[in-house]
Amino acid sequence: MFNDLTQISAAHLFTAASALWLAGIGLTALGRERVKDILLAAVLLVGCLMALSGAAISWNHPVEYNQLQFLSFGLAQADARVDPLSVPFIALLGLLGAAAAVASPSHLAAFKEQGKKGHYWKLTFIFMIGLLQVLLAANAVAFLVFWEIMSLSSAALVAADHIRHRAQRAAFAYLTATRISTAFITAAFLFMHQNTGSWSLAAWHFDTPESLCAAVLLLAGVCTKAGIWPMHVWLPLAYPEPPAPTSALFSGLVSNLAIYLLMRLLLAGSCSHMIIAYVALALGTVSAVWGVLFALMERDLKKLLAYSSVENMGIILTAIGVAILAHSHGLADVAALATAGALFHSLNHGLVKALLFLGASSVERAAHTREMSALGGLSKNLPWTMLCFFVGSLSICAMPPMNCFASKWLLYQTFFHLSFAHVPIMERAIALAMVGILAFVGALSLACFTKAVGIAFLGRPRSEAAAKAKESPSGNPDGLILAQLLLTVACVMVGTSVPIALDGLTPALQQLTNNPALVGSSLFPMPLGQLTLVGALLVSSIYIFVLGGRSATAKSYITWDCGFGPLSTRAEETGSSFSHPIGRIFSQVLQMKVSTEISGKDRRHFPEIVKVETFMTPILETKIYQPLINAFDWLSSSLVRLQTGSIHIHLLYVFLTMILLVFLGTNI
Amino acid sequence: MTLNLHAVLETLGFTATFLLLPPLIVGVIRKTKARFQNRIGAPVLQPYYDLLKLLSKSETISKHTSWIFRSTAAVNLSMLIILAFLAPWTSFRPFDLASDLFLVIYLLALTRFFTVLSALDAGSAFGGFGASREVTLALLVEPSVILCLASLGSVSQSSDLAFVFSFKNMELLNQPGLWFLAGCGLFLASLVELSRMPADDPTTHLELTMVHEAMILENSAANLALVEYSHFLKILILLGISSQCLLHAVPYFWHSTELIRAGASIACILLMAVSIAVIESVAVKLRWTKLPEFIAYSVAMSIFCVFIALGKNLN
Repeated sequence: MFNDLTQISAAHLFTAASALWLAGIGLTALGRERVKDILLAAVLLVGCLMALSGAAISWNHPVEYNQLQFLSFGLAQADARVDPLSVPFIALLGLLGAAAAVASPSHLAAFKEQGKKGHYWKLTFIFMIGLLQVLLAANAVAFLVFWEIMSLSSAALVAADHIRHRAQRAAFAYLTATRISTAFITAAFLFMHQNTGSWSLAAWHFDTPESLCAAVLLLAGVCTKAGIWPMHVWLPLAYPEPPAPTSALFSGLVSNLAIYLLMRLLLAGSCSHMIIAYVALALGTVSAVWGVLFALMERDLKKLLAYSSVENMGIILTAIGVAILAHSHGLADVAALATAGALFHSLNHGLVKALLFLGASSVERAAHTREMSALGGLSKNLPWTMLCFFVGSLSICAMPPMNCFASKWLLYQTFFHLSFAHVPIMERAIALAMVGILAFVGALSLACFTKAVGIAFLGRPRSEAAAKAKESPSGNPDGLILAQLLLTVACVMVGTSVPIALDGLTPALQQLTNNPALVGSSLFPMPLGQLTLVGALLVSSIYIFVLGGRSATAKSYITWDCGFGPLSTRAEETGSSFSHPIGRIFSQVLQMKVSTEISGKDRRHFPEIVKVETFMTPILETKIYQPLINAFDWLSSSLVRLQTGSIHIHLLYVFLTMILLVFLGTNI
Repeated sequence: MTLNLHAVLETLGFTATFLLLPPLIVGVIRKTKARFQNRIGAPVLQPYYDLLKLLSKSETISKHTSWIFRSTAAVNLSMLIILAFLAPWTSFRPFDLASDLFLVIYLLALTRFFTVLSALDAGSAFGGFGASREVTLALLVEPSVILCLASLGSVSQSSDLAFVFSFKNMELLNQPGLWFLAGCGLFLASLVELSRMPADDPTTHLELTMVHEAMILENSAANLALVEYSHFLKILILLGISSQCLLHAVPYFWHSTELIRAGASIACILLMAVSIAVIESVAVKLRWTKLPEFIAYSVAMSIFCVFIALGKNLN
């Protein structure tokens, strides 16, 4: 009885959420007042709450329904199902959607003059419907349709600020990436349909030799969409461009959905191709190192965050690789750790990255720039943004007791356990090497995010705009800040109650590992919550008893200037000088060159001109992609010659085509 | 729950040791260095007096700082106190706390996160330079530290350091080579992590060339006392871990009593302090660009540890 009730109500909730958002598109036609923004935000929020409650109801009770059967896509109907794997992602969607809804009105108020509000809301609703239905799609055809809706609407959102050249370029790059990705995924789906004769995603298993080709195609498509090296080049262009609330959804969900597809098909479909595991491990490792290295060198706050996504997607991909590897070796414990690590880290990363992107948007709104060399000292004027961004940075660097620490810990344990499992010695060597590489990537991401917080928020303001920045136009925390606080609280709550969160993921993990005995919380035996409590007590008692009493007598004075008089803000570290020593170590990869010019009459003692310039050429873009793009350009400009504009030639084409068709028709 | 007098005494003794020992280690280093330079030097207990003096001074804070600046001192000290209970810096432990290898490493990273931010907080060029160097060195050292400990853990098939360093794990008995290499690798890494020579000279007066001192240039009075004390505690913990590795390399300690081991742990830490002083007296600070080559020794040792661990698990 209860099950029936669940089935009906969860299905209704999801359909109603989509219908509500669809109605929201209609509502955008109403007026042009501020009331409308709040109304539409409420529509978005209510839809998200419905999705959240639907996820909560169907957490333990898989549901299958086809309420959208009137949407027949020719090959198959729009079947939907809610299973344990899609539920955590729907919950993430609900949470991030709620944050986006809270942030939207204040974002739109700040950009009143652009007059594109209507497009913003329409596209956001379409985007949300696409995201939700991708997660609900039970068969490949429905999946692809909604995947395309999601991709195209998000591409339009990337182009929201399309007057700028930067946004045009970003939208174009993103569109190209989604086309390539969809092409690969469609090909993979067609292959699997050929192999199994079914369109249902649940019916596909990747444990037969014929499925290898489909698995390779799928991996290629997913890597393109998730921003895995070397297909990540679109990501730092596209992530920074969408409007603030969308950037949270975009960074938190779009790449994650690609990972979701990979998990659903390869992990739940018990993939047993070692080659896929090795390729995933290798690509994941390279993207982790590459992503974090470029994130560290980046000067633009949002691009830094985007590159950090490349890193985290890479880490998740390595975990998926190990899960496949462990599964085919029959190592249940390693497979469980790897799967839990991949799933938990992708959810945590989505949450944290959305939080950080909202923070960066808040900085951009306040200081009108994302260049870190023009920021600084924002902690005074933007205390809430600073707090949220700080917590987000702690989390993404996997500092205990934040949520990403737990998932990073699971990944470390995965490789650690693989290092003494009964597997070939090469794999054990790789596992121990991966522990070292993870530590290396972790140290790099610490450098990267101390730079982001330290240069953007601490120190003295490096520009007039940064000095005059205001948290919000009115000065009070508004929607954008509240959305950040919401996600911050979520991060801290997940981080301090990891066993509960992992228990929540237990059904999903059981589905992914085909191991009904698996219990999520047993994978994380550390008393992190208790340690957090002890730590918090210690910190506050030391602060109160040692420092607190002296706060009143503490003298406020200038920063030490060696007695030379007021310090110029140009004497401060900038983002690039902070990361310069690391850049020098990796100058081969980064193609970093430093040129120094010192000239003048008495060059040695009193130089008149001192000029230092740093150049970085992105090696992948210039060496691989530029020649490819050039070749494409050449090809298309050569093909233009076919189109002469003369009717006689075109009639000839028609005639030749007809002959060809007749020839083919008679011979085949 | 019965209150066990013995356990209470043990806990008190342990807490008193880790709270009181750190300044003594620094005192020993300074005294040895002074003797090497033919000076009498300050008393061994001078670091305690310095800390007490700092606690009674009035504090000056840069007006550009945020809440990060002062909370760093409290956070770092608390994390290091937790680490003192978790990390296996001595063979003697009053409670049976699971001390996970990756948690220990990441708690150390958390203190670094705060230190680096507080260095950037005042917006001084010194702090920025120090912070930038700190993250660079950390990046080079981190893989070596984690690989040394992970290969020990891999042999004993547990990531619980309390178990790995318990003298009870028979997999690790008769592995003097592994223990010795891990101990040396960790010691070299600790020199860099603790901003000692040859990575950083803690006694120079030019903060522009330094790492740790440059980062804490803006701290004063009680804040400085806390930061200094945390640094001393970090010296104790890191030297303790590498000295435990060396003790495990000696089969004698596997068969001796708890008391001898506890005494030997303290003695070994003090001996390492003396060896740091010797290194600082006879060696020079390396040029910044040469440091990766020095750290490569530590990384090489950790890689040898990995090889031994892989070979050990073959059969």
